Amino acid sequence: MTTKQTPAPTTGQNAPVAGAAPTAGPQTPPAPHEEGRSQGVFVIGCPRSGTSVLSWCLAAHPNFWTSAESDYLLDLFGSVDLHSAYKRAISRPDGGWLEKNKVGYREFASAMGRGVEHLYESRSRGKRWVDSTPGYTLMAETLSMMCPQAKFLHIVRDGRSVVCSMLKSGFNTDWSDDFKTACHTWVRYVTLGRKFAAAHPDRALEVAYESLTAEPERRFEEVFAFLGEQSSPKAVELLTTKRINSSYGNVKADDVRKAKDPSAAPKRPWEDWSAKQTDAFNKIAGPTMSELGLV
Amino acid sequence: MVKLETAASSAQDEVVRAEPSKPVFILAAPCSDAPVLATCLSASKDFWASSESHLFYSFAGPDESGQAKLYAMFQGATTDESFWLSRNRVVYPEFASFVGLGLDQMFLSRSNGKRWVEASTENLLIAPDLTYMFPKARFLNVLRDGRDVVALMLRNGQHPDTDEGFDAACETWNVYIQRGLEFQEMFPNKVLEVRHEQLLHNPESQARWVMDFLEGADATDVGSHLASLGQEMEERLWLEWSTARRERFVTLCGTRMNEVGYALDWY
Repeated sequence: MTTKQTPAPTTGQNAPVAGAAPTAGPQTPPAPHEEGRSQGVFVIGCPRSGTSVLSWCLAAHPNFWTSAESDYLLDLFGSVDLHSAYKRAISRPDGGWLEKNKVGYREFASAMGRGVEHLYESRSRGKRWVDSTPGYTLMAETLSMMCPQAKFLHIVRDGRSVVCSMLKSGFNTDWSDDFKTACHTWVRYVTLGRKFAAAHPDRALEVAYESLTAEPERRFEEVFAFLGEQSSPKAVELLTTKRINSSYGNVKADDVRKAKDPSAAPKRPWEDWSAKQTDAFNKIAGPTMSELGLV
Repeated sequence: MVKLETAASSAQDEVVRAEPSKPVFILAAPCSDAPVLATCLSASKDFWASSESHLFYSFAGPDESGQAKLYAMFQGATTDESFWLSRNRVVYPEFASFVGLGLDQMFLSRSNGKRWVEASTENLLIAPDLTYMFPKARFLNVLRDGRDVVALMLRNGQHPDTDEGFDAACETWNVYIQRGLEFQEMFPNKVLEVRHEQLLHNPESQARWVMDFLEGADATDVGSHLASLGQEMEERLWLEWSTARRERFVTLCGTRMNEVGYALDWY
């Protein structure tokens, strides 16, 4: 989650910083602790926007690897917890270790991220790891500091499709059984993700889901070029032949994990909405949809 | 405290693991001169100490329900076989070691490769998790006469100098000694029990003993440093306690004092 930037530290990017959680700030040369770091990929975005399908398509490329959504970083290092730990340590009357050794928040976050990267790498066996936890959209700023050379793909999908998918997902979440909550969730995630991508154009790429499915070869060329790799036809093949984690055709919640025929899903499911639902969606998500050029 | 068996995942056998360093944690009740001992160790060319970090407790200390945060979080993230940690067969000791790895490297970036020494008081309360976070760490469990500890806690304001504060200070000492002894029993190969009083009265021999355990090099500088600080480290403020206070101490801490071999003579 981004916050207003704190006053510039007095001794460079490694100076201790009190107050609100700092952002990574404008693009600067990498600090020593940021060099030679893991080049993983975080796929972020609202739930039900294609984060899983994009990550599995990336992993069809021989240089990439993915597993399930990791989720645990949100609990362990979610912005509040990591920054709270830093603040507690640095706010002591005696200053403490961090202050004495001039460890700024950015370096501290980077140190915490090293272990995370090593954990991914211990399983990815030399390949670039890909994590597609939607919740990480809420802590993308923190992750950018924890994993200073990781790249981010923010996948954005038509809010109407997302809301329909949320309501059919069968998940046990607040957005899966309340229409307005689903709309607000989509707006929140898209707003945060776009803000992050705009602040870090060198590290984050916005990927439009509908464009990806309409022109997969061209879009994957762009995605892999952004990641510094040659494109892979296998990524395109996976996208066009398998529907991963689709909520359509669910009989029970676990069905969402089964790949399905892409042609089976209805094309414009929001056409079944009531007038009241359509009004609610337009009121809550209309401005964001306009920003995205989707209406 | 629970000791977990370290189970290596077969997936790890084929990959190169980042190598953790061999830090030293000095565990002790408050006012037991743990930071002073850390400073003495750093007189050796093998070790480096700085201020207390007070970092690790944020991650491994208890949550609102009293459960260790790091372990509780791990349990929550492994309730389903489809979750990342479960799917990739990550067991808790391994998970904790990765959490510690980054912190280890941060400390090493300041110690210039020397073994770093940490003496934050609350580390004793999360010591088992520290063994998982830093699997090659060694621990010195410093025991000190409870009367000294309690008297100093009151003087330093860690507890108010009232009857209630006195009782709380006694409880603090009891808890730290108990937890330290439990930890020693769980990990006998990783923990050396050290007596504050011995450090004062036999600094050179204690320095050699500690350095042998830590597989450090020459103990001479450590011993010299300890010897020079001896006078500063010895305070017997409890000599001023009233009879009532002495009796109260015996009631609250007498059993533990006997257990760890401290005689309750008042001269």
